[in-house]
Amino acid sequence: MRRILIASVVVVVPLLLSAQVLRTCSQIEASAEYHHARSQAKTEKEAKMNAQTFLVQQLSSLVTSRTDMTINADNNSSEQQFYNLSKTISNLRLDGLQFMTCKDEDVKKKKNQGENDEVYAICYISKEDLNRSAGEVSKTVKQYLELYEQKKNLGLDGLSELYIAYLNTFFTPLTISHKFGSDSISNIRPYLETRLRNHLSELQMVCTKVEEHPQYPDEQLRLTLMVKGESSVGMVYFLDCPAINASAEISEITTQFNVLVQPSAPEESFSGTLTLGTIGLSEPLKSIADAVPISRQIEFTADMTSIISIDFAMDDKGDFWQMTPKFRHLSVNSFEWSSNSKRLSTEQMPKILKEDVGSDITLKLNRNESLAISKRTKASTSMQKRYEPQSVSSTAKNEQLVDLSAKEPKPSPSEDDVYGFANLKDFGTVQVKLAELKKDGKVIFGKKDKFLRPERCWVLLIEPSTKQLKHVLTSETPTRKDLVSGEIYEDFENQLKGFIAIWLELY
Amino acid sequence: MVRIVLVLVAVFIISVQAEAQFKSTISFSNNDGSSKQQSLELNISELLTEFNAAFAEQRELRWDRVSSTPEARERINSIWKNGRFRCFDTDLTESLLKLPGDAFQVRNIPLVIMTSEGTITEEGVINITPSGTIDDLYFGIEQNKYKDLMRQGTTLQDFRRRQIILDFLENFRTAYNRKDLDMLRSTFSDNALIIVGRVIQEKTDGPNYLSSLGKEKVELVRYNKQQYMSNLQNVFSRNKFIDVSFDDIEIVKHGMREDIYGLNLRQLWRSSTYGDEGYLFLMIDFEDETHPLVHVRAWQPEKDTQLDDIIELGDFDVIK
Repeated sequence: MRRILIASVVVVVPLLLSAQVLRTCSQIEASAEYHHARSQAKTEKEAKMNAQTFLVQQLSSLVTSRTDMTINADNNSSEQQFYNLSKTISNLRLDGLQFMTCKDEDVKKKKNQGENDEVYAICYISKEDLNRSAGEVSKTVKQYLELYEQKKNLGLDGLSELYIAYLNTFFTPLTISHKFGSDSISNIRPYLETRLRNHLSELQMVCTKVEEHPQYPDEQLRLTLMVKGESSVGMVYFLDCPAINASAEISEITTQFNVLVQPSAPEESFSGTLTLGTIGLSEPLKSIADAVPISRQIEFTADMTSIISIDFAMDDKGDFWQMTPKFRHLSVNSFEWSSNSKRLSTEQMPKILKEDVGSDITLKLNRNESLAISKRTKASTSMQKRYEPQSVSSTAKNEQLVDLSAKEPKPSPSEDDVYGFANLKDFGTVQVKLAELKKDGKVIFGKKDKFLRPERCWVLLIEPSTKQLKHVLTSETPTRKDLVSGEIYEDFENQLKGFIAIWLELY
Repeated sequence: MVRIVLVLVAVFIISVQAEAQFKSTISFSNNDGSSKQQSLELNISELLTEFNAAFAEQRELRWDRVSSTPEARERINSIWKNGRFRCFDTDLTESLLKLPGDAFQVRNIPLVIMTSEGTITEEGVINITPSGTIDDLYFGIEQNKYKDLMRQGTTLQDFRRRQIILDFLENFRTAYNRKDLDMLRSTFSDNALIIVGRVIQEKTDGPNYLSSLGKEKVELVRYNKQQYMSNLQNVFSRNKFIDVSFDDIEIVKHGMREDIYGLNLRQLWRSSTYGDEGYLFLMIDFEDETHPLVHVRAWQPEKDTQLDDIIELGDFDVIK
């Protein structure tokens, strides 16, 4: 019996001791075992909310300095959200968060004196619980890092796993360490951020095509953009160009980007922000991603020659010509009319004396040699019609386009792989090759519906999931030959399905 | 003297060629420099080199230089008995992959198998115990397809489950190469439902020329485990060589039962006497991850089965 009593004492006493620790607000505040914050308000609920706000603020100051916040949680939920003015966020996991209404002596005293009729409350979490929560977060982060390593070992990039691991680190104010192979990282968050920023810095944006917007041909242009570099499966790239009121989400190889802009030169530069993201993020991670974006400034150029058109009309007014410029998709800031290298006028619609006009007349816009058009002329009324546009229409297609290269597509030799497409392995190498050829004016590429004679196009077929180049089909004569397998296809669009097709017109 | 020199040169050339032809060495692209990983590289290289030597000398495998488990030796010897093979690369660089349970795996080892019907190339997969002993070898699914399926793993748990599923599938597939009835028997649950699609000609009456040709129809025949195993035993004894390969693999997790997975794939069966292509469905129970059990196996001939008629996980009510 005595032995049982002793055993009971041994078990019960520690329980009583631990219960005593939580008895009053003052005791909690005096203890070094807790993180705590006290607040007051008209109601108990409000006081607890305020206390929680202060505690989260205090804990989050371990993450970053902040100036303002709002609390979303209304009870002792394990997750609280708050934002500061610079939109940094902490979405902390605080398992074990507790509240207490304070009935300490000093509170009673104030109340008795009528000084204060507000309720006092304390919000607190033990350091042990905070560490436990941090441990849970760390476990999740490490699982994603291990998944990254497993995928990397299989030759998969696993970048989205790194990104999700990075976002998860924001669930705890404490640092998380990790061992990558033989490298020990004491604080994984800045390490991951650097990796992700490096990835982003290596990407480039390439515009492969410019066309009129199908619904708003007069106001908007549609750019086809392509991410160049080691883009990663599962990642999404957000492009935002506020200056031209345009944004796009790039999760596939290419994206279409509608811009409100009229170019002023054959090559137009754009700048914007490219931000990293990934698909299928849960709501708390999404809010963290929005608050701590991994972004960079990015610039790209677009070749506008395919949509710019320039022309002019000459009306015979007896002794002089009434000149009328006609242009489309061009922001014009200067006009220059000349004849046989002699400048005649810089007005928009000048009257030019016939006696001043030589064998040709030239209109140059924006002081740019590439934006010039010349017409042979004889200062006679009978020849007037010959120099006017054949049909002036509101659509660019019927106007005389400024064709800078003035090259006509040549039928490509049916099986002559002069550019070595069959040797290319994946989308990355295709991108590089096409960019090189485009720069040299040897290729135009895009979707089938953009070619007048698609049967003359070569077609590259890329497997979407692996991004491997699977088929290189020659032009239709009337069958297409696959230079990879040697197979002949009579109707490849029905025979080879599920591929991304890049149509090429070779020069 | 000149003749002696020529003979010596010839002997030297032959020995150099023999060495170059038969030695396969592997190095891990993710080698951490540890002595364990270095000895693993050596052990696998010894195994591959032994395949090459035994293949060239047309003899049984010798295991004295290879650290392997008795089970591995038995299984690899069984494959060898049904078709000898060699590694056709001399210098391989592959990743050492981690498997659940601290085991390791090396994939994508190029093997060429000599069968009575000719040669087949396969991608070998070697499993290694946590202590570094070779534990198994089987013929894997194509590396790109394997990667595609693994890429879809969104969490570590999902990734690991996929590893187990594909590991099971590759082992299941290689069991046919080994004619390993015991393994297949242990894979099917005792109450397993086996469905085999059989093409039947449905004769129709009437004068119409087209209808008089008859209509091909697939009849689903149901077997129990004993009947199926008995049929399989006959197939094994009739065929000197069997090779089964899988393609177009889809992994579907059951909506309600965490441990139940459905696998839909295309099966290509080649053997000494017969060959076919069909859709295979397996309902696998991973309650015991170390011993997955097949509850349903359904095979339908590819040629005469409409895509809508392919049996899949949703066609079954799972009651456990």
